[in-house]
Amino acid sequence: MANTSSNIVFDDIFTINAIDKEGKKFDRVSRLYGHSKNYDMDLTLDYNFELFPLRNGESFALALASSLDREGAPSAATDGDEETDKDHHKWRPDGKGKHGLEEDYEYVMYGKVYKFDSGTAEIVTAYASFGGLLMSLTGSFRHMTSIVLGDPIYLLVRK
Amino acid sequence: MKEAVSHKSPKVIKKLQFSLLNAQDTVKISEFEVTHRDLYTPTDRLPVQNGVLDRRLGTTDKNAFCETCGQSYVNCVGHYAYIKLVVPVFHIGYFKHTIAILQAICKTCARVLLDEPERRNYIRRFRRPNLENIQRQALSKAVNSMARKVVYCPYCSATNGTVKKAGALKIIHDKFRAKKTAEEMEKWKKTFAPAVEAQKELSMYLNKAVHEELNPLKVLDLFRRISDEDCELLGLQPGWGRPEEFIWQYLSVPPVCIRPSVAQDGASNEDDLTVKLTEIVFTNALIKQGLSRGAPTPQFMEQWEFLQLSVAMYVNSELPGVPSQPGQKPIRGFVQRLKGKQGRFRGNLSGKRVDFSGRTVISPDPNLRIDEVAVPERVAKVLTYPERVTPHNIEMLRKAVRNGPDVHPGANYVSRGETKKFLKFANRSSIADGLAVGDVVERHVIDGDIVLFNRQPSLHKLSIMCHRAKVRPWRTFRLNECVCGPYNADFDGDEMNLHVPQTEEARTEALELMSVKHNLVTPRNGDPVIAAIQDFITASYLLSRKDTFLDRRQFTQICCYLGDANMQIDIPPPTIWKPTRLWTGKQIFNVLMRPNKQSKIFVNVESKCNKWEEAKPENYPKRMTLANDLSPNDGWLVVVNSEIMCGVMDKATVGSGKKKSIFGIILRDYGPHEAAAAMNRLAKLCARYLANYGFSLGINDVIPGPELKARKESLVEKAYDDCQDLIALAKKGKLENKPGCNQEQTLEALISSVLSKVREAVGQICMKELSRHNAPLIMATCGSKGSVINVSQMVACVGQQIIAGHRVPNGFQDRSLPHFPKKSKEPPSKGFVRNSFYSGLVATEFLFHAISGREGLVDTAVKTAETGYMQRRLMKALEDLTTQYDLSVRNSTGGVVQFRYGDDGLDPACLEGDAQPIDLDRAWTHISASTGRVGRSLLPFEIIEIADKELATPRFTTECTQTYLDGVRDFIHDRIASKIAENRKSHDAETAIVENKTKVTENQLRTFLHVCWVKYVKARIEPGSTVGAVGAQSIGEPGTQMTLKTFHFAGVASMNVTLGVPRIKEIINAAKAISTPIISCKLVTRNSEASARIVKGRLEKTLLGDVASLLEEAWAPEYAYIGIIVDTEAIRKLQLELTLDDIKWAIVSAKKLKIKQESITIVPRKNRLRIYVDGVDKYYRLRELKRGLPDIVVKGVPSISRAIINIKDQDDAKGKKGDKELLVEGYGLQKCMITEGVIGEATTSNHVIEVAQVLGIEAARRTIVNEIQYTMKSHDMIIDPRHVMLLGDGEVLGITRFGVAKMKDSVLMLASFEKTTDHLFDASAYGKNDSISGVSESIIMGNPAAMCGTSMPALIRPAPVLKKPRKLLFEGAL
Repeated sequence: MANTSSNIVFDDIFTINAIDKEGKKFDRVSRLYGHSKNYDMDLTLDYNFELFPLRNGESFALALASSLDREGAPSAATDGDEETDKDHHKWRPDGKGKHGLEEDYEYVMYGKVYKFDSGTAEIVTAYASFGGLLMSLTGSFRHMTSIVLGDPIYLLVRK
Repeated sequence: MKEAVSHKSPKVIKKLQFSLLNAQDTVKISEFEVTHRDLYTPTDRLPVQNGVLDRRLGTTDKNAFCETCGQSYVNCVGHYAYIKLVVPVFHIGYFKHTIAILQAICKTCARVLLDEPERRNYIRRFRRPNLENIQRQALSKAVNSMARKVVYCPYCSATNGTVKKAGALKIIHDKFRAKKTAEEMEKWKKTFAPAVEAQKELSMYLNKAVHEELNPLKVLDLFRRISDEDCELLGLQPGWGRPEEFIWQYLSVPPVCIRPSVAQDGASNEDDLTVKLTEIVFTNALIKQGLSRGAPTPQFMEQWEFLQLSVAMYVNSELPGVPSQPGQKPIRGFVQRLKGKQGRFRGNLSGKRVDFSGRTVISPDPNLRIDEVAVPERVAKVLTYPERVTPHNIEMLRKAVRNGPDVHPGANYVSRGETKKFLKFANRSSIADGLAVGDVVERHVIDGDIVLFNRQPSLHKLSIMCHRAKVRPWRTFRLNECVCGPYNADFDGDEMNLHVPQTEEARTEALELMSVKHNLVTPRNGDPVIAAIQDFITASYLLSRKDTFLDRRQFTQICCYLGDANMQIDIPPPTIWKPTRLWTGKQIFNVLMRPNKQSKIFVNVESKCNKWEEAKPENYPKRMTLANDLSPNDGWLVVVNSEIMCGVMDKATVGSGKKKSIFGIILRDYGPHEAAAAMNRLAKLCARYLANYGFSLGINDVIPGPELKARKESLVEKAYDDCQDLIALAKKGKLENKPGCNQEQTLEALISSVLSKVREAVGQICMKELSRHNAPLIMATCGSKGSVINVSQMVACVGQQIIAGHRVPNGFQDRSLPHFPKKSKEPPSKGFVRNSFYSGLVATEFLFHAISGREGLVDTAVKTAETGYMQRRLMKALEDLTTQYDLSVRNSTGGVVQFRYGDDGLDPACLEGDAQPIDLDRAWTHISASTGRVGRSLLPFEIIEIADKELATPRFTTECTQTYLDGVRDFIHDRIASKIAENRKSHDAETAIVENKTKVTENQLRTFLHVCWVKYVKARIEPGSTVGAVGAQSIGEPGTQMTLKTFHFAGVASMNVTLGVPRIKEIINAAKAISTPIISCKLVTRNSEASARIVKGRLEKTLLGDVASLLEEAWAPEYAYIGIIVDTEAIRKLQLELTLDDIKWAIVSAKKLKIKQESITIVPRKNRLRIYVDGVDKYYRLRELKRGLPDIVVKGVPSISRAIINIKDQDDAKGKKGDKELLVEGYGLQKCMITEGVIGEATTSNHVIEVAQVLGIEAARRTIVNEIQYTMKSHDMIIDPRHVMLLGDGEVLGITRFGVAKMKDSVLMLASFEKTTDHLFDASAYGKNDSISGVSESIIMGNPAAMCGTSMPALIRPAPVLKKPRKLLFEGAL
């Protein structure tokens, strides 16, 4: 579980149990299906297999972060004023500037949590989209308390 | 240069009064009497004095002057002359009226044949104030039908018979027609006795029927004697025309300018009218001569008849009963000039020629804005706009004047006051220097000018829209491809028209009402019509696919495509940060929707894409509730705050026809300007992107792979085998018949379904097997062009060819072509094409394909004519319906059609949901996403409290209907508040997850309620809206897109319903006999087939022949009879409730056979009936009975041909799935409703007239609405119910020339519709008037359309008191 001082809102190790179950539909994108033993979470994730090839049965570590800063930002800033919020997600086209969490991972995507399923059960599913590449994360709501609807999010993966 | 017609005329024509031109007026307006038959003098070829071309009538010669007013042919309006006819002749236009009057009056004393009490009664009714024309006509018809029955005149007791037409222009009076006058006739004939004695030959004439001919002289004498009071009884208005004026005595000779002579190399060519006039003058002179000299009577009669005919032809050359000489071209009489499409009414009065317009070929230009049109420079130099000089534009106009007519931003004329200067030859620089404020400069069209752009056929109001001009080089009009939709334009050589409004008022009106931006949606149902098409859709699809990744260079390059370097673009953060920074194609569209941070456009939408594959639950973890978003082909669009979360851009999301498309959403939430701007960006982006990317179709795209080929072959082979089996089964008669079908029809239905399945299956294989980069496949998936069927036809298999709804029929004896064995029913011989367009069709297949193709072509040709006429009729019937300030819908005479437009007073074009002003679900997601989640989360009870309080405020209660408020309240209650409550309960109020799932802040809720109010208020219909015209267009325009002949199965294969244009036609014609009348009956016991059969037996017509096993003749010396053996077994099997007694009574009640009850005996034990025959002609009587008996209806309703038990295949309003209902083919709704076993209240018919007769007009209105909606829906066309309701309101009248005549009162309107001259003659005969209140009349008179649109608001003030002009002393004299 993520500690309060970190920007990482979710962290676990998933094992891939299938890739492209419904047939291969796209040239550079595959959908993987994974399960984590740690928190007992289910994951589906669209990823670019040219940049980050994965095979069935492999395991990988996945983290979701609200910012790439190593140090946790003051919690008030998350729903504070716009200025600080924008500061969090600034990027430099030349790739220079401060580096953070991404240095520890091999594959990093930026996107947005946009939906929680509408059921009332114990198990909830969160949906995030990374420029159209979808991620769904299913599991007990207790493990997903730090994920906030409508917030930008970073997906960080390493083998 | 012609002067524009001033619209500030000091006088306004309030009404038109029609009357007859009497002899005195004819002479009064004339200059002289025409007496000379010659046209020109033989010596100097000048018009003859007192001839029909006399110079005093005006002139058509350029070098001559009118001798009356002394002006040239341009300015002289023309003058009249007259011909005095020696003997009167009938007027062909009033011939019918003449006969009608003669029928109603006594042929001796000329009084109306009504006795005093009746007469008084009718006079009183005729004199009722404010009597409408329609009622007056009904009254005079009643008088006529009463009077013509009277034999003895109540005043002079003379005998009157029938008056009728004999030959083209002859009226006869059959005096002794009534039987009771036989004696009188004898008496009258006796009076000839002395004459017969003297001349024996006379007796043979005497025995013939005796008719009195009523020649014009006699009629004239009778008509003169009719008193004024009697005229009123005849429906005439003596003040405006007396009956004697129906007869020609003086003939008016019209001015020469309406019948110009055309000089052709020495000889001159005369107009038909001139020729006819000389003929009349000549005949007239002959008769005059004959009379003075005492010519023999037969000669006189012959000449009189000829004169009669000439005068008739002069008016109407298409006389019924007068044979036209073949080889001679028919002349153009007055009637022909007015009539028809090219005639005066439709050609010149309802439609006029205009200045300041242009027409040329169109071509596309995606770089133009959607509201622009590129005008070629050479067009721009001809079309001008008269701009008044002000201090603000004087410099610009000076420059324009200096440039003159030949350099583009120039000017053609400058006018100051009355003087106007043409700049081509003037000293332009001095004029420019002298230009002063107040002058008017007719300058060239420049960028930004307002123009109207139009393409025929103008079927709906979107066919003419207002664009801004953009002056460009070359020769074509260019427009953005997005605007092709409403015009239905393509660029295969289409031409379009351009008009330049000439006043500021006209420009403003055009810009506000007709601008492209204000017409992004169709008023038919509120769907967007202006949206991306074809290549734009393809490009959007390619760009937005999941696997499009772009690096920074590519991404920024594409972002630059969006505009013309004139806007700030903020590049979003990349999607993939590591290993390399990459953006996805979807992010391009995020930028397109919201280019920078300053932009306030937040699009929120969730909808299905063009092809949506549902994610299969078995592929995902069990405990997860699957969202649509996870569609494997990315076929579900979710946009949150202008960021695409998932889904592709295709037909459904950027194309037309979907309210939940990106542009539809922007339009509703942020207005037309933002939607148009987004569309401009998309057009530029797609055109530029696709030009670089490249998208083409080659032979490679249509070559099937080996796998595909093999699978297709096996599929086709299998289908062939299946068909073979079916055919074999059918041969043995072992197929189980489908309800209502025989063996052959069943076979056809089965084979057809097998073969259509093949094509479908092959299509599916194509979609799977073809490469993802296959161009046709891409186009089919994203919906830009073509369908799966088109792809599979090219690649795999063309499929079954259908002709007239069936497989290819036999063109030879028992076979379609001689290539096949006789009676063959195999797929190939009946038009199944197994080859693809790539593999090539074999000869027979090619022919079948050609037959089918030809049918399609014929269909389109017929369709255009049919729908065009339908559209015209709809328009004429509904054109004057407008909403008033009280939101009621009224016609031009003020008659209320609806008290509130569409029952709720909402404008169909502004509706966002499904016929609702707001889509609550989407509005809520939009508001909750875009207003931000900052703030305290409300508790459920707080939400309800706030909502109730807000909804009770006066702005809601006064502006919105209660149903709407209830809808909003329920939504907040059920979908927002109770959900939070549930969530809190199940998650023990764990804030984080509850807030993630359902968080509502006060700000969100209040904004939502505000939006609900705003959208409702915006959607209300505006007073003055021409709802009739829009409704007519909304129904007529989709008609043109329907395929003509389509049938549809009403549940059962054997029961077809007519659909498409023919069905719409039936409905709006209010046809008495429709092609497929179907009554559907709900049954009391819905689940039992046996009881359904019993009811079926009660309804269906059963003939004696069906239940009799034998009809035998029995001959004996004493008696003869016909024995009927009734097949009780059959009756039992059919479950008929039929006894021998019933049969007996059925036979007795059959009127035709005249069988008496006594002559039938029943032998109950043997199930026999005997009908004894007596009388002289026993044999023939017996044979007659034997022929007639089998056709006697013994059970059921005679007008019902058959009834079929239908098992519902899905739930609907009328019952559950699996319920049985009866579908009855035929008429007799009333009979069906009262039949035992049928629920009468739930019985419906598709026959409007019958429903109106049985259940009344409310039910008929419902039926009209339902039937039109059903027909349109089965063609995938959605029309707002409000339009159809408008059509259904009022009496059930066909929209034909008969129905329209009953609806409308205006002469001009009716004359411009159909039967032009009939209505005009009627109008003048009955002295009708026209108050010029409708749309057609206003157009004809050149007024702005009354009581609708922008002519409705008016400043009302008391009229100034003007003294009545003193009547001139001698005005009446001359």
